[in-house]
Amino acid sequence: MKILHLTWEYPPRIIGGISRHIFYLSQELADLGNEVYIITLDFPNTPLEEHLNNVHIYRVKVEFPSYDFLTWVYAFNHFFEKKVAMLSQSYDIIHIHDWLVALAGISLKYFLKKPLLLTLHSIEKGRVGSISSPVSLVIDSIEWWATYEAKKIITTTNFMKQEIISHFKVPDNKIEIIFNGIKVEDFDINVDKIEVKRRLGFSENCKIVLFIGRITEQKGIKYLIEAAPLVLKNNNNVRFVIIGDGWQINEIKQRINDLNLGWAFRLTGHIDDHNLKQILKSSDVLVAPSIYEPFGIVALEGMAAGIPVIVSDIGGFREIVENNVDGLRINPFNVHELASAILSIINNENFATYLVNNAKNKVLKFSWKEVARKTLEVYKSVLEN
Amino acid sequence: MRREELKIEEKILLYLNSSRAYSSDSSKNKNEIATFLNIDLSLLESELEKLKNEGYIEYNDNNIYITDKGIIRLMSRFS
Repeated sequence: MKILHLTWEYPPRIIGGISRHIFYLSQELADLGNEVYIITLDFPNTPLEEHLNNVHIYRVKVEFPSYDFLTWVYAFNHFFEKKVAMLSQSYDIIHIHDWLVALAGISLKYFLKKPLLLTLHSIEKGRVGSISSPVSLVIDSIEWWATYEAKKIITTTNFMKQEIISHFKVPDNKIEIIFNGIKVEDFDINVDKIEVKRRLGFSENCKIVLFIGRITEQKGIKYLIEAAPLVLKNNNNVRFVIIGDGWQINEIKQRINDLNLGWAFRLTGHIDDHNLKQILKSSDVLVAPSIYEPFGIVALEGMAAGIPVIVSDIGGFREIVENNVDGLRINPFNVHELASAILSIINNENFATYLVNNAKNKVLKFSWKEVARKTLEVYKSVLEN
Repeated sequence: MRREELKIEEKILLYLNSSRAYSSDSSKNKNEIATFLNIDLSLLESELEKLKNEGYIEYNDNNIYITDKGIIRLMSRFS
């Protein structure tokens, strides 16, 4: 089968979870004997064209000075259409990921006369809480239009499926759930924990609480900052590492300074995968206090790395983490609950080991091979009908 | 979590990103940016200084371009 994917992010352009999702999905689809074409945005110092084992990646140069984000999105969607036209290939199916590439996907559905498949990794209403600004209204409208034009919609959790049904009034049988995957063997690396802690400027016997994610309201980082003094009051040996970047970064830095906790925190910004895994495997607990999380691949990363995870009792996390069995689920708005969850793991090695062992078994169920096999089934069902 | 208007620093990053000012070869100068965004040069200069200190742009001899880190910072607003 010849599959066309449209996505605004593909490695090394990693903004959220979509980039890795398409990277692994496309490789597994190719391994199953399919030919995958990926149209995406370019990135500095990255080739505009790459061909890896039946995965053909085309990074599109978009030079269109814009003063607002939507104008730029409209522009790059046109550039995507142009790229597909210039390639002059025939495809069996067009697969788009989120609203950002929906306009190009919808046009191409009619130009190429091929079925359109949409994976919704998240929706605007969930990301911002309510559709209360002009920009959100436009994004929400594009999302609705894409759900209407797509022959099938894939989501990554039942939580997302229900959100799409209730918000966009999409029929139940139009939506398929396929969980995200994780490549467990990628986390099977040797790490010198003492050296990693030294690089971070911490003593070798400290305990590390780790956050990985975009520094945005959605990821709930501010609740971890507020929980930190409560944790440190009980255990002064704990240190906090924040990996990621985002528009809320200055606010977060300011709050850490206001609390006089600069000594206990390290903010690394966006770092490469190798360094990320080194820090992950040197940490003692991974915390994801998101207030909206359609899936929560970060929980799988912690589980695969053998680190106990604490996640919010919301959204997709509820379908990944079983509370007190393979991780802890907390109310992120309750910083006392978050602090005591951290301490219950940091101060009790047996409990931490129990959670990690259970999580290691659980995470094996989430494989990209399985994601690809199920996605292929959806493609086939779309083509048969 | 209402989507707020882009701040000046984000508008600068968006302009550099959408113009593909990715390196010194394709960089923009202060006048081009100030004219496009319709802001005073003095305001622009203070914002550029902050962005440079954060590692979101490179800024040498009036050649200004966005870094990988700047692109990811900007896009995180909409992901």
